[in-house]
Amino acid sequence: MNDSITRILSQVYKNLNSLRRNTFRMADVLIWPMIFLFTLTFFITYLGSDTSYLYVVILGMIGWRVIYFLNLDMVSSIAEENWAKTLAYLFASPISRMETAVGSAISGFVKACFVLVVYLLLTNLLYGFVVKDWGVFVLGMATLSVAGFTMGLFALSFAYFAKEEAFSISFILPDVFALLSGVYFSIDAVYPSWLLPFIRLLPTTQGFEVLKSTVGLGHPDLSMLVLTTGGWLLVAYLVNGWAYDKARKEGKLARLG
Amino acid sequence: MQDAVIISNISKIYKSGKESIHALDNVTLTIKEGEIFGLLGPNGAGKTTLISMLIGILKQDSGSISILGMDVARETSKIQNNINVVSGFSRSLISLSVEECLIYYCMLYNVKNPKAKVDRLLKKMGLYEARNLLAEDLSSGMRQKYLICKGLLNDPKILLLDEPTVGLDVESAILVRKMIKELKGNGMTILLTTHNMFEAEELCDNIAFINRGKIVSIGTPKELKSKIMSTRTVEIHCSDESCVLSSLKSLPGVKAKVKSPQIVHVNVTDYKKMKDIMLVLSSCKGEIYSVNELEPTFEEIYIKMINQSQGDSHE
Repeated sequence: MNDSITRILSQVYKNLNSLRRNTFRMADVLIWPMIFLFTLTFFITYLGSDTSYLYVVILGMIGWRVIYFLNLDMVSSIAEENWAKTLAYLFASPISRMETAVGSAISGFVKACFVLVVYLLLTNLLYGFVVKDWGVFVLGMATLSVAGFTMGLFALSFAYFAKEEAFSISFILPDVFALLSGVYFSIDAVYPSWLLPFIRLLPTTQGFEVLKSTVGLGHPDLSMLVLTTGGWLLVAYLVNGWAYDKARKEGKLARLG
Repeated sequence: MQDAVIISNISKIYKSGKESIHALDNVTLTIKEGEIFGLLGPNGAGKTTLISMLIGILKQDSGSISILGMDVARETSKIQNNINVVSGFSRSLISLSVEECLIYYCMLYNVKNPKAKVDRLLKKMGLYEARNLLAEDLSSGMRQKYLICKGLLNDPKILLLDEPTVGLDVESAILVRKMIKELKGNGMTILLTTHNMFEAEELCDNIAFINRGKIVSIGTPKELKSKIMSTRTVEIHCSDESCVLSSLKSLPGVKAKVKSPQIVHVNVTDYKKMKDIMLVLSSCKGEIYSVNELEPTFEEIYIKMINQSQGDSHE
């Protein structure tokens, strides 16, 4: 168990140390999230909307960041080793595919937590935003974290074969799911009724609904939340295992040098 | 010596669209504990495919691999704890210092007290002063030393070296070869692939030639030389090559030709002919400066073996 934890932490050590030394990566944590925050919140205040809409946007941005960082770090951890021509060393070591995935997801979660704290502080100062129900908020964030991890497992399945191309996919995936899941709006008000049952099958939809409910706008369904989050995680785990074995068999997992 | 690696009837086919490439075809070989085993062959021969299987990043289609008595397919993680790999073509992690990279690898292998281990290896390799440099900024010689440090972090019982001296200057290559000899001296089993025939002959106890996925020949460097050289070449330095040539032509079973002015090469299949050659030479009018047997270079042996395996022997 201790050995497994050390191997998991190896990915956190690698990702956070390379973050510390790389200005562009640091900007992904320090600058872009702030620009994003100000752009959207300034726009909403310019429209003069009800504060509850402003709060939905703030919660949406927080939730989106969690999905984004978890998913992205899981893929970039592999893609960067491929760029550095060290990927074979990673897979030739005793670390398992799930230890690699969990470790890099943790480093993504650390980044997300940092942005979350900054967001909460800034939005409180600027707009008086406060989390009214921390229990529900944590439940929503936990759901979106698992959803981000699930998304990362799917993207990793692709990364075992496509490496750099998977990096682009991991950028796109959170945006697609956030859009479908009504990150900044009510899905009932926007999407046609025939599409809604499918959208509700996404764990991200359930997670954002929970977050929105903290400002009285979402319609969370706990049983669907557990079912979709657990179900998709299981599917992602199985797909990832299948993809790993297939890549290993076809010689696509990693090349020496 | 016990067997460290047993490879039995390994085959691997890569499929690309409708095409199938036989990367390994029924490969069988054994590596003894504590020896340096060389795997030589042209690009695309199957060397890297075989190493990839040994380190667990590639699965064979058929056959079995046993490392230290464990089956690679079933006990991959246990085996990975006891082996390590260094590739001359790999680079280093981005944005991490030399020390951070090595500590990262220590964590992957659950090395106890990683800082002390890394410091000790860096000092041994003469890299301690460079520990805070970004690993990606190291010169090729320093990078190779850093990679060997990485390969030794988990005190592997078996070290796989894939072209460890590629792209190195003469001094760095000599240093790396010296390190490899030291590791063997400490009882480590080493599998080495290289295109440098001098290096292979100098370092390896046993060598396998591989071509188009098949093992062409296995043996000690000396055995491989004797296998391929059915004739021996004698070089004669003389003042009058035409006289030597015409005298030797009278001897049956001896082929002589002028290599260059004052140098004659004689191919001898039977050592008993040497006495006759000496007698003929003593009757020559001109001077005979020297008579030497030419030892074939390992490079020549390699070329002959590979060409023979392709059915294109120049013998």
